[in-house]
Amino acid sequence: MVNSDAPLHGRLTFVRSLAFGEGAYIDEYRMANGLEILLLQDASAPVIAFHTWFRVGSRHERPGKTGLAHLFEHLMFNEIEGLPPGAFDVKMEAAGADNNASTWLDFTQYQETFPKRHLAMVVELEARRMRSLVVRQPQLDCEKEVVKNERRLRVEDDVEGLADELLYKTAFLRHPYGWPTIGWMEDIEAFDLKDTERFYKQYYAPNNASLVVVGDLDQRRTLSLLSRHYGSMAASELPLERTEPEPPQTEERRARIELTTTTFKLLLGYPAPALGDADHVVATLLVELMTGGNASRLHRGLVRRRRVASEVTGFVGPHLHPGLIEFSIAVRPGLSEEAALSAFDEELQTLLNDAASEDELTRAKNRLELSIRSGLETVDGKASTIGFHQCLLRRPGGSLERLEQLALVDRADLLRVARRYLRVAARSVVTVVPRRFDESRNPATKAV
Amino acid sequence: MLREPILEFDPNLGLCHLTLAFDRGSIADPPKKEGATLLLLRLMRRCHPDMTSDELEATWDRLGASLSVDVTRRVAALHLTVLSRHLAAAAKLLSEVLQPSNWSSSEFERLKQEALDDWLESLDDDATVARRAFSRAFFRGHAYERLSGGDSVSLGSVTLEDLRLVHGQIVAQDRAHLALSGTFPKRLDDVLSRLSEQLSPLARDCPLPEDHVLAPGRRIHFVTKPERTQAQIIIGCPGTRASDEDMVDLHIGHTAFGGTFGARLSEEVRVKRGWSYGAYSHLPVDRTRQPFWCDAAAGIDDAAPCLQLMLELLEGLVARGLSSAELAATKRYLKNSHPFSLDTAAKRAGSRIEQALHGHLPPKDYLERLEAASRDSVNDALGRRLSSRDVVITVLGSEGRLLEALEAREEPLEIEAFKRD
Repeated sequence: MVNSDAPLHGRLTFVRSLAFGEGAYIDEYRMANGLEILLLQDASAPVIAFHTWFRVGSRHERPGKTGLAHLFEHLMFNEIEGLPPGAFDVKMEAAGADNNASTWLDFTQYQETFPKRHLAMVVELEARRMRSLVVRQPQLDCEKEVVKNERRLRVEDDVEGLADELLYKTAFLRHPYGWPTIGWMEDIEAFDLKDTERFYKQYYAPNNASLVVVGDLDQRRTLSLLSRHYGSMAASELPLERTEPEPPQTEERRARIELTTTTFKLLLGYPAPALGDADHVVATLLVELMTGGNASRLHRGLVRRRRVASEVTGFVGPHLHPGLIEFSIAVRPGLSEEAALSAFDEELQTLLNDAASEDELTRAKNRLELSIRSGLETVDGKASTIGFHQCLLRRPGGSLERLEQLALVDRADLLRVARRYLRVAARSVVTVVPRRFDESRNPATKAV
Repeated sequence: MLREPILEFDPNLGLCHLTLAFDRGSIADPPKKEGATLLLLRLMRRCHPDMTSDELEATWDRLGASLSVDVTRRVAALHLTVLSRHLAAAAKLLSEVLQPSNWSSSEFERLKQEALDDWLESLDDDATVARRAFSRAFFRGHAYERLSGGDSVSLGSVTLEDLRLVHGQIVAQDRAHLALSGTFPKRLDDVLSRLSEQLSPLARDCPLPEDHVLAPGRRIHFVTKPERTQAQIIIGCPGTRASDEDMVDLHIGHTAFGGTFGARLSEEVRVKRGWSYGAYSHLPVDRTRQPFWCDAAAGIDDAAPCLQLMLELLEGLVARGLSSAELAATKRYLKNSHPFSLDTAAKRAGSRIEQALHGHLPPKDYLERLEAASRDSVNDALGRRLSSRDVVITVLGSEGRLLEALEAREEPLEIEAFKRD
């Protein structure tokens, strides 16, 4: 029935139904123009989350044009053909919607959560801005200033932001993961209208997008709306991605940066498995075991026992191409970075020599299970995880699949993955050095 | 006995949130011992009558439980999130850490050192440093000038005896509010009775201060920090309290001014001029009067004109209030977005505990007052409650052109050098 009224490119094909927790199913459809649609019914509240995930991120940029994907994310909120500038946000707020967007290495995503009675309005607006965005010079100039301020906030005046940017630049000499998603300042300043127009035409196409709709929805009505509003868009020819793989790193790299901060910091980056690699789940569990919570290996070793660090965190990049396994160490006041790094290496060596215990494994699994379940509490959380896994891997049930995979990981897997990825010769190390500044140069406090 | 717990059930989650909140927080810190309440809750989290701290941490993990602590001036809370199948065991464990047993000096000294280290690391965050400076400047001379997190001097001076004193003022049945949300069994008698048994019936007296009276006039408090490319700007005046009849009217006014991306402040500062990534206002609601404030982070060269613009916008808000169109749009937004404050079990439980602790309105009453608000009632509230004359302005940035611009202004200027300890 939906297809009988469908516009030229709006015919829908049912792809599959996937279980997503108890009694819940993700229903996947494909539109004739290539748009992927995933629907999950959740009647726990009269609200809907609507997500649009584009398969374009900073990875798709080129030197001299870094930050374009992120800048364009900002521009998507400006003007739509037939509507005045800012109308998108005005209409969303009138509906009581909460909306936002984000850009990262592999994707750009847009999201709204709203009372379910506004679905038709949201679908129409989202389709219109995919199809008919208008970018004018004054808005471009203004958003460039906003993005420059965002860069100052998140990077240039932020110790962790600057250090992380340097880590990726050091670790990736050829692959585009080496430049920051927000872009280098000089590139942001240089963007012109042609850059944005070209980017929009190339990447903002239905065959480069997945829509995820979660909530108290009427499936037939939802599909009908999507077909009507997105069905006039034809598929585009997407640019062939010519990303150069990062060559294997054969020796440790080091970088130092002096910043206004109180203590030394260390950031370490080891090559990580790609998100779709079977080792990614194991690596995630390994890092949780090493750094997750106060009973973790590194917290006990570096913070409590050796007292060389005030904090140790770890993270495995969830990226389509191999990213980094990152560790961040805040060195205790008065101690050198070498003392902390030596302690880290010794703790790591014990893990490489001998597998973690069953108890450690169980604890880490429980922590990760809690984290995954917590992410699925809201319709927005569900839409995010479905959209993320669909966008990168075309596996919308990915988060629950990970739960199943986690249960199967054993100590031998952890040992294997630790030895394969956590090698000194393959790592990059950034040291943040507290910059000395003469406090006496500051003016004396004046009384009010 | 504990008062009736707040229960919000969701059969599908597989996890459960348990909040045990006490209606006194860092206001209980002894003089010059700021941070004591925070240290108390963190120590409780680590000490068990029959386990070492390491064993206790491992036990939380085995249960798939996460226990965090949260201390504001008015509230001290323990938040437990746990896999539903382990709720009973985790709640039992929680009950066992509520009393000051096995509080070892060595563990306490370790905790203090970690708290000092954390405090030092927090100095890297300009927004945090600016907010602390604003809070101290705004509440100067009042009990709330003392910060919940303490500082490097106060944290170091706290003793175990101080913690026992604070414990007696806070951790008791008559102060406690319990909320459970998520997937949990129908029968909770064991969970509730265990928690109740571990709490003394009555807390020692811990009076709340009177509302703060801000000194008249404007003043600028400038915190200098080297090598900033951006300045943090905060402008604040006295705001509201839960018992104000016009609290909802003021809330509408604040939302229209700076509560959303499309509000006046964001429109003028970010959208039209690109001067800040974000520009918002804030109106916390509690049983004692809290400040209303607005903030932005502007590039160093734009900071002085941004500050001037924000002050002019505040003046306009106080003098002329909202237009009819603004009022209608804001009421529509607040009404339509209200379901999102209650769309999960955790949010519903959170709303009910906020009502109990901070005197927030129940949803039905809030929506009724929202509906009843008129342009007159909102603008009267703005003119009555807010001020553009009696304000505290905090700026964090680097010397140079910014300091020259601030010195050229007519407001008295106080300068504080950023210190790395």
